[in-house]
Amino acid sequence: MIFSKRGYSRVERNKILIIDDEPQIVRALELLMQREGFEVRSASDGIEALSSIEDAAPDLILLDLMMPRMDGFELCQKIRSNPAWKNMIIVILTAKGRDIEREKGMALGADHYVTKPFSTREVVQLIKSALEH
Amino acid sequence: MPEFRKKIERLTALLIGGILLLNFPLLAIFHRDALWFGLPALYMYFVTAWALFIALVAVILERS
Amino acid sequence: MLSEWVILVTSFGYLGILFGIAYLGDKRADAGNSIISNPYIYALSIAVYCTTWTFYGSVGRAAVSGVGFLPIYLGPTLIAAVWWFLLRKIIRISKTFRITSIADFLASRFGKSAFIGGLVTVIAIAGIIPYISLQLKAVSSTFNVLHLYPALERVPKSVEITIWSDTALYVAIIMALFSILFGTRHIDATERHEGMVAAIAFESLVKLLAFLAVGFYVVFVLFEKPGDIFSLAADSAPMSMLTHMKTSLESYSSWFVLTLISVFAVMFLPRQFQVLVVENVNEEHVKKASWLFPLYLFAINLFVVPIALAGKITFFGSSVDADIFVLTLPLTYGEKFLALFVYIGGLSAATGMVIVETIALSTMVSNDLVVPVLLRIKALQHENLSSLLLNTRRLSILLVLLLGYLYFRFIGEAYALVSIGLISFAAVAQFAPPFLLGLFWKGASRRGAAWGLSIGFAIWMYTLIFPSLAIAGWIPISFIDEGLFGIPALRPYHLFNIEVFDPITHSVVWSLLANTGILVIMSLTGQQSVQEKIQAKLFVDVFKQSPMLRGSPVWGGTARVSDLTGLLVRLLGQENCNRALERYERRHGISLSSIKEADAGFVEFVERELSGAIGAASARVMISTVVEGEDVSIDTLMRVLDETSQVIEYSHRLEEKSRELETATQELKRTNERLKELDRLKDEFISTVSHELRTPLTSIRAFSEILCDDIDMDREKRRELLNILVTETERLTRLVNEILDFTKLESGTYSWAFEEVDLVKVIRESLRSSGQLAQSTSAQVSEQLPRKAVMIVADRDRIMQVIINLVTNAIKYSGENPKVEIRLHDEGPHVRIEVADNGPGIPHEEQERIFEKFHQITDRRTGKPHGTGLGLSICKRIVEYHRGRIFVQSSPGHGATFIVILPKKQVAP
Repeated sequence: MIFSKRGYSRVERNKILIIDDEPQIVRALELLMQREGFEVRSASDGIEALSSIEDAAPDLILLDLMMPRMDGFELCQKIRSNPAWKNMIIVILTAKGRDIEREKGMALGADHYVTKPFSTREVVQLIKSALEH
Repeated sequence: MPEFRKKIERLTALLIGGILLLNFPLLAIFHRDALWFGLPALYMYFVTAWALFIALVAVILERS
Repeated sequence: MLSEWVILVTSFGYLGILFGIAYLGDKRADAGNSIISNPYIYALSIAVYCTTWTFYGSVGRAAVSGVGFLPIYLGPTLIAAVWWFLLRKIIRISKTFRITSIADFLASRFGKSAFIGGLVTVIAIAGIIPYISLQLKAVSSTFNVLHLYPALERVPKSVEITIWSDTALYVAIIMALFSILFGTRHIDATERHEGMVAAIAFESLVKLLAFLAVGFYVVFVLFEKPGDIFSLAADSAPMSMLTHMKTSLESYSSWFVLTLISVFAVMFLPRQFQVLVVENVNEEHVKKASWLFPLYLFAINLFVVPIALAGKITFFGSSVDADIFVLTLPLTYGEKFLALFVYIGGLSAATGMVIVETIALSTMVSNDLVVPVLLRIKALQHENLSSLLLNTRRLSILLVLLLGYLYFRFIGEAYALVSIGLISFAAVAQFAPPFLLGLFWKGASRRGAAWGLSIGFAIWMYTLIFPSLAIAGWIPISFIDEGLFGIPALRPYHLFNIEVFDPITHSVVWSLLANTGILVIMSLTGQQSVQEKIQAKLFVDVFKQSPMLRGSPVWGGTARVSDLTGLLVRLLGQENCNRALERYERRHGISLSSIKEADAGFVEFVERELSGAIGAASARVMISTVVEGEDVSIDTLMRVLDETSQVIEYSHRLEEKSRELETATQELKRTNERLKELDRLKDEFISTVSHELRTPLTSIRAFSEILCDDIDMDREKRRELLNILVTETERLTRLVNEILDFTKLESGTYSWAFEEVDLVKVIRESLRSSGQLAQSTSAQVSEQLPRKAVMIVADRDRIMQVIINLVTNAIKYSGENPKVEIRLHDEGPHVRIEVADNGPGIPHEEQERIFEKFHQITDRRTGKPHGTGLGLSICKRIVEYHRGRIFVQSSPGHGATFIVILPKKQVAP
């Protein structure tokens, strides 16, 4: 809980959900987000993520595309089909680098599309500015 | 018309086979005193070979 | 036994029925409703081949020479196998050029030569007369036997009585009248004789039934079963010859020659040509006839040997002629009506043969002998010839039958039925070389055919007819024994002092040899006239010609329509002429009355019509009398023919080209599809590989950056992150290695090092390598290996790679408490390696696909995949390169067993 001090100073912390099936990547992202003072939860596939969102809707989700059971595209679509989650920010973080996949992701309602491996600084910057608007 | 050609080839082969079967020396094999089913071997040979030949021609020609 | 009147009334009653059938057939044909247009009637009409020679003579011959009667029926059976293309070609030619007889066919083929037509006619008449006499002999003697029985000694011999009290004469006259009524009621001989064919088919049925009736009677009534006849006959010494049949074949040369000439006879006897070709309604009927007709022959001969034996047994020691066993057997046992039926069957056989034969011959006589002469007589130039033609035909029928009678009376009675028939066969065999060579070889020339036929005919006369004259006492018998002028090499039965052949074989061998030899040599050395070349081309290539050719300009000069129609009226009569012209006008949609100058098509049409009536050679002469100017522009014609066939040839080639192109295009399309597919697979591969590489790279980069940013991180935390970095780097390394391995295997560039290895050692070593993983996961790895070394030829490192991969997978996929067992079985030529785990197992539908590249199996519990998805795919490729097999056996929940089967020896790859 090293990074928690700065986070507690805020009245309300932004909630972030990390969805990825690679435990190491989830771990890395958790560290990053906690350091920035966000409230972080994680899920390892689409279905788990969906139930987590239903429990408490996060402000932003970091979404991998290739996942078992329910993949990122499907989850993205599900979220966007619910008007209550209209303002939820979706950032796709994926190893799929082809243009066609980026277009598909954006078309399905994602707000940002970041290709793995990513720069941690850039991702943090992106998330911060996305949450400020 | 490969089907037609094949038919012709088969019939020609049958003709040649028939000529060989019904002439010396193959014929001489059946020149013996033996009886088949109580009938002389040569006579029986002719009856069966002849019937078989006709049946084969019919099969080749009539099978579409 | 039977009164003359009963026999006569029955005979005439039967002939009346025949006439009724013929009348009905003609009526139906006129009404356009043919009763003969089916293959069964066609096949039955071909059975006109079986004459009294078959009906009475087969038994006679069998009684003397055992199976010696058979070649006459085996030959037709054999050749019928190829009728489907041979006979169809002949029919096609004959229909195209309106051929009316075999003489017409040969004349047409060899440049519409009147000489050939005449020669063939003469040979045919000379050859057929003995054959006709045979029918007369059979009918008259059976008639006598039937009403005189049992006093057979009273059956008169022709030489002892006057002509006027000879039954055979009256038989000849009655048959002539009957044939005239049948065959020449029509003015136009070109139309097929549908009524006659119907009657002939009926006759074939009657004679078959009659013969089968005697057969059944003898075999099943007199002797109860066929075996009895044979055993009875075998017991009595004089008949052993027949049952043993050992000495029955005089010699194989005779056997072969009889088969050969019967092949020719069944196609080239004038009556056979008539029913097979001229009277054929539909080419397709040939198909069924090719086996139905042989079947008929088979059926009618089935009882010949039993009847012959029964006759031998019954008439042992008496002088009853074996030729009439068929009749005397039922008579002896008091079966009057069966005997009468048999007599009617024989009458059927005789009348059938005589009617068709004389009609065919009369057409030949009038078209190929008489008309050519008439056309040269100035006084007849403008007469109406149609009734003259008809009377010529009637007269020739009468003449042929009377000649047949004379042969019978003065020569024939000394011979058995079969011997007389064979003389005819030998004559007709002369037609075979020009006919068959002419059918397939364009080079066969008119001069070759003319000389070949003449010499062949002369040899036949010298070796068969002259000796029969000598035997009958018309010339000194020394001719046979000492030869012409006392020269031994000229003895008619032993030319050149060769004594191995019987007379028929001898005659056929020499005459056919000379005939064929002369035809071939003269054709090769001489020149063909243009007219000959045209006809040769038209005949040989009949299937290659377009129907268009029929209207080609054969005549170069000009002719008036009125002259041409005049010709038609003169030869066909007004009525037939009008009908033909109407047909032409309808077909071409023109009115001939408005046209003065005939075009080439019309000239050609008239020539064809005339050909049907008077033969091709004469028709040509007739036409040339009315065409003015340049007779026939043969060069033009030849060019047209060549061009036509060139066009056809060219279009054939074009078709072929376009077919080739099409297949090439399809081939290209397929290749393209495959390339596209390969491209897609490669694309997918790269995409997957990069995805796989990015995942560990992402962790590595993220953790490195985190460590970088936070140098104050506590020790514990730092160690955790650094550990992650190490394993992720290892994972990356492994991945890169596997990808390299895989691409090498895939592209076949891997260099294999096959050697003899001990598999037990290899497995032990592999287990040591994976020991670390086993330890870290606290897996229990057990082994079950043979004590002795198991030697196989394999690439050591690769096999190790497979085993390590399987064991590592087993450990990784096993649950909380991993248990892995590795087993090795020596199975003779193969070894079997099994790696079993206690994991969750692999669902059935996944068991094939796990060996596909990048197929990752997801962990049931964590829902996460392990590994790169290349490991098993690499294993599969390695094992398959060793010509082995890898597969998995598993049921979910009970672990999985991976099985590798490897051959011990490797054939050189």
